[in-house]
Order: sequence, then C-alpha cells, then structure tokens
Amino acid sequence: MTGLVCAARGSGEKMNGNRVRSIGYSCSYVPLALIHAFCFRPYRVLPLTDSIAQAGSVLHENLCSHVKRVFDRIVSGDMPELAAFVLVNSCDAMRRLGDGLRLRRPDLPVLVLDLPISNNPAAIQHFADDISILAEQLSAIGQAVLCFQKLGRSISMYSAMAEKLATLQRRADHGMFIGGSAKMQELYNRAVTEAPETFSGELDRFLDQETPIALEGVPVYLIGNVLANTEAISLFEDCGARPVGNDLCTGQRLIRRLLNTSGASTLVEYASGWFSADHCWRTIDQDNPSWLAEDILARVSENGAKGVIAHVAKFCDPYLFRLPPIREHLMKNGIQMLVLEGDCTLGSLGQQRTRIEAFIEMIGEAK
Amino acid sequence: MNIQDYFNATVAGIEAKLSLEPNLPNPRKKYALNVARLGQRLYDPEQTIAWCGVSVPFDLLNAMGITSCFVEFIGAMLASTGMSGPFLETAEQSGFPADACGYHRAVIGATRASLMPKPDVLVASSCPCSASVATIEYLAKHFAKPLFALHIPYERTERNRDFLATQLEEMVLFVAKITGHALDSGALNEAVRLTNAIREVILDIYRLASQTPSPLKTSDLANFGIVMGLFAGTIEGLCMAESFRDEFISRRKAMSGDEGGLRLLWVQSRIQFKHNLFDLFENKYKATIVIDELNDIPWEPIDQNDPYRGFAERILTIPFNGSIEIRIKRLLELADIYKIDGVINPCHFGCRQGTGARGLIEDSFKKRDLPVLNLEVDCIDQRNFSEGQLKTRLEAFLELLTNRH
Repeated sequence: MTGLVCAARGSGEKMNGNRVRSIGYSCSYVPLALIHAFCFRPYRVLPLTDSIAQAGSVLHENLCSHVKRVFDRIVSGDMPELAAFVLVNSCDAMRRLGDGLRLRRPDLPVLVLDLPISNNPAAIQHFADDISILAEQLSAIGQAVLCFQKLGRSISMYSAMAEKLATLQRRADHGMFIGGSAKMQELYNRAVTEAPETFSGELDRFLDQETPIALEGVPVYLIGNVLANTEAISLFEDCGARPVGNDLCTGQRLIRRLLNTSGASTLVEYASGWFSADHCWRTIDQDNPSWLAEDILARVSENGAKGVIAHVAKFCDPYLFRLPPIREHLMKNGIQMLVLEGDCTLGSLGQQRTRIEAFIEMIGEAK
Repeated sequence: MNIQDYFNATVAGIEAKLSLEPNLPNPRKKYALNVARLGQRLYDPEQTIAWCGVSVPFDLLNAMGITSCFVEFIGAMLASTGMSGPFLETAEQSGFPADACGYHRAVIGATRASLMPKPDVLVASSCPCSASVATIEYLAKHFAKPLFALHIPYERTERNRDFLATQLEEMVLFVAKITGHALDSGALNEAVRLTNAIREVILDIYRLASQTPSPLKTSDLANFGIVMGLFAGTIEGLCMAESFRDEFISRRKAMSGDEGGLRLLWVQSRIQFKHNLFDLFENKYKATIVIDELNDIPWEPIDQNDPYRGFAERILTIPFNGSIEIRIKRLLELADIYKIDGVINPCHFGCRQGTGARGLIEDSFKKRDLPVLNLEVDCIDQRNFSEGQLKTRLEAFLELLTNRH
C-alpha cells in the first residue's frame, strides 16, 4: 500500500457532491483514521437502542449483551445507513456477531479485522498486514485509493480529538467541567457517531470553558467495558459517587491515542502505534500476565479514588474472568470494588441502585 | 478420594481387567487406561507439565517429552467422577461468573483448591474460545509460570498459515528454553509419522462408523476425537486407534445387515457427568450417536518436510475457527456422510463460541429437513441437571424421528 496516487479529497458531509458514507464498528481497536482517510465516516454502533431483541433467537440468549444490542440495532436499521461494518475478531461473541450479521444483513459487507491475542512484535506485524487488507477492502467499497498524507491528517485529527477528550476528562475528574462525568459520556458518544471534523471543533468550545463546580460525592474509578448510557453515569452520581477517571471501552479507551505521536508513514507504524495503545483486557501481555490489576491499581491511586466500580456487559467472559484477580489485588491494597453486570439497558442498572448506594456509603466512611 | 487417587485406582483397575482378556481389542478400556495414565503423569512431580488450550499441537509437545494437556481435561475428569460441584462453587464464590462455561469454572475452582497440577509452562490458544484464554492466563498468574499466547488467525489463508507456523516455531523455542526440553529433529520426524499413521487409522474408524448399519454404540466414541489429540504423535495413540478400528471391523463382520435404527449426530461435546439419558437410545428406540461433531478429521496429512506449516494448516481447519458458515458446512456434510436422522445439540451452558451459534446451526439443519433437539444443558455442572425433564424431551424427539423414519 505504498507509493499510491494521492486522491485529493475535501472534508465535510458532502464531498464532490457525494454524501459521506458511514462505516460501522463496535470495538475501540478499529483503526478510525484509516476509515476516515478513505473519506468514510467511522460510526460506532453503540448498544443504545429500543430495537426489538432478536439476537437471542438468531444466536443465543446467553451471549454478550453488548453484542446482542449491536446486532439488534444493525438488523433493525436503527442508525444511519452503513456502507460496511468492520468486525474485530476480539472474542467469541464478536465472531458470532459477524455470523449473525452475514445471515440477517447479507446486504451489509462485514469486513473482518483479525486482532492478535497478544502484543508481541510478530502479532503487531500480523495486525499491520490485516490493516493493509482492510485498506484494500475500504478502497474497493469507496472506489478510492489510500493517500498517506490524508492518513496522516486523519491520524492527527483523531489524536487531537483524543487529547481534547482527555483534557476535558481531567477537568471533569477535578470538578472543572460543567455537567461532569455524565456530560463527558455524552461527548464520548458524540465523538464516535458524529462527523469527526465538526465535532472536534466543537470540543474546542468546551475547552474554552473551565468552570469550577462544587466537588460532591465519593471519588470512584470506573472500570470495565461498555457503559455508554449517560443516565448510568448520572445514576452513579445520584448514588453519591463522583467518577474520577475510567478504564472503559466507551470512555477513556474509546479513541485510542497513537503512541507514535508524530504520525505514521507506513501502515506498520500505524498498526504498531495503534495496537500498542491502551490495552483491552482481552489482550495478553505474555511477559506480565498480571499487568491488568497492577495497571488499574496505579490508575486508582493517580486519580485519588476511594473505590472502584466495575461495570461489565453480562456474559462477557474476557472481562468477567479477569475481575476476581483485579478485586484481590485492589483489596490487598485497601481498595474495595463493586461489580455490576449490565445488559446495556438502564433498567438493569436501576435495579442495583441500593447496592451502589451501600457501596458508596461504605467506602465514603472508610478511612 | 482426590483426583490423583482416582487416576491411580483407575489405572490399577483397568490393568487388572485387561490382563483377564489380553487378546480382545478392548478399545474403550485401553482408551480409559491411557487417559488415566496421562492423569497420573500430570500429577507426577517428576514430569515436565504444560497446560494448554485445545488447539495447541500436542504432537510437538509430546515429541519434546513434555506431559501436556488442555485445561478442560481436568474439568471433564471432575465431572465424570461426580466431583465437580465443590470446585464450581469455589470458583463462583471467588467471583468467577456462575453462568460461564463449566469446564473453566471447574478448572479455576480446582486451581484455587490446590488440586490443579502445577505446570512448568502454559500455552494459551485463541481458538476455540476466549474463556480458555482467560483461564490459562489466570493459571499463569496463579502459578507464576511463563505463558505463551498462540493466536489462531480467523481466516484460512496462506499468509495466516505462515504466521501461525512461525508462532509454532517460536512456541517450541519458548517451551524448550523454559523447560530444558529441546525438540529433537528425529523425535519430530517420528511424531509426524505417527500423527499421520494415527490419522489414517482414525479415518478407517470413521468410515466404519458411517456404514449402514453402523457397528457403533452410543458410548463408543464419546470424547474420542478431542482426547486423541492429546496422544497425537505417540505410539500409545496409534495403538488405541488400532484397537477401536479392530473392534469395529469385528463387530461389522458379525452384523447381519438388518440392524437398523435411528442415526444421530451429536454437536460439540458430550455431557461429562454420569447420566441415564442414553438408556432411551438403544433400549427403547434403537438410536445411536454415529457421529460426534468433534470426531472428525478435516485436515490433510502433515508434510514431513514442512511440519510447522502442516500443523498450522491443521489448526486452521478446526471448524470452530473462523465464521460459522465453515462449521455449518462441515456439520451438514457429516449429516450426509453418516446418513443422519436427527441432530442433538447439548448447547453447553456458558459456551459462547459454540452455543452462541445455536440458532444459526438449527436453522441450517431445518432447511435440510433434519430435526434438531437443543438440550440447553451444562455438560460439566450437574447441580441443576434435570434428568427427568430432559428424558421427556429426548423421548419426544426420538418418537418424532421414529415416526419419520
């Protein structure tokens, strides 16, 4: 994919008179800048929908609730029209999602991105090779060629967006952002569903405001995977929690920051930087299988949290299996953790209000 | 009785029985004996032990003189002896999800109860499932032992085969460095030769099983395909396979040809704990499981001159890898080859990769006008097993098949 002709493209909702088409995805490992460089809009299919539940009958009820809701949304068409869907081979449930979509939406190309299980050099090269294949597929759908200058601009744009969100998150953690964590979640959701060029500009408006607000609530660190409901964050705050940072796929890990901040001149560099950013729990560090618990404890300490709330999609094995060692490590260091399993609806969390309140009260009183 | 004592007692008991009938094939006894001996080795502190994922090529590790096994083996053994309950509870009380696969919950519970043999090295494989990866990672942390992660690429392409082959070479070097057991080229050649020889014999077994009438009984090949993988590249594996083949040849010769009956396909893994569901099969309905999905050889012989690519190709052909279309295509082929009347899918509770495709598998068989019974049973955890209810459903299914036959 080197030495290709640079296709001059503008940005915005319409280019050359053609509407910008969306490419759907549901995993933070999807290379957003690559999709954007082909003049598509990456559209994260968040599990926020009132669509009729169909996944259970097509697949099985006891499958990750995130995947089931994404399936339901796509099958019911509850989103902008998608030119294709990038499916990341991250876990069993995602593979079944791809199977279900191929059956129920044969009109929707499903582009599979193989995600290595660990982050060693050979795995990163393999990921780079797969990104090259994805680029070819996007090229065919968009009838365009990859321009590395455009890729560089897209990488810079997304890196800048990630930095802006990180800055706003820090302000929210320290009570310097109106709307706090719930508003942050709204911004995260918009970051991956709206046109990135215009949204990134809108973030500047928020950055210009730095309004101190009263710090209320017991500081807690949120961990887990999918928690896109702004109302869920508000629920935590209503229960007396003050989120101070998070390690969530739909939060601070939503837009991966390229480790090589000077950009990438090859797809290998891009893949390396992208894959090496914040790890999803499903990715193994062979040299340090205990990295996750240590990393979370470090973040809890950095953010001054008094406790941890773990929110995981029900039936998500990669996350649920990794919670007990995290809890044990946190407890050894005097940090309590509350585990909530959700089905990506607010109803399931609402039923746990009493538990959340009791937990917040307990850690709030602890010395 | 703990599981180590169980294996010792089993070995002694079977050896005694076999000594009484030395000239008979006795395939199932020999199979059970070899499995029990493997269990003994796993608990032998003198052995070098590797805990692995199901897709790891055990022929390579056997050739290195390492006692290796997939972790789910312990879960299955605990269930078969009726001992899984307390360990499942231990895992759940420790915070592991109660609705996750029982194989892995049992292994984690056994680990926390200090019952799991301590490994020297661990090799996780991304296929067939995420829970296996997480379980092996947990064991690596618990035992503070080195871990190698084998990524099985999603699609079966030359590039992916080569990537996997490279990983297998790295795996061998990694394991050799940790354990001091290098892979001798002569041992590798012999392991490949035996693997291919075993493959031929197993194909004979499956050909015999597919005949009409089939010489099989329902219990004959339970867990056969997946357990034989543990003996890949070994003389024990070849002897076991030959004894099954010889037994089935002998039975086939003795058959009149009038023996009819319902022919069933069993999806994925068997129920591991003791139960009486299959009493209905042969006693009342003359029904036999003639093919288990996992009793299949979708791979070509390993190239002696290029073994790593051969092993990689073999791993990529596992139907649980890749899209469900591949798996369904093979299931439908098996249904044709074995002339199936009906399909039973246990829908092992908590199995995201396998049971997650329940609806798609069922639809595919329905389009072929093949009835499917989804049991929705936990193959390891018998605490909530309702034998009466399942028997009723099974009976109705077999009745349906009988009327159609």
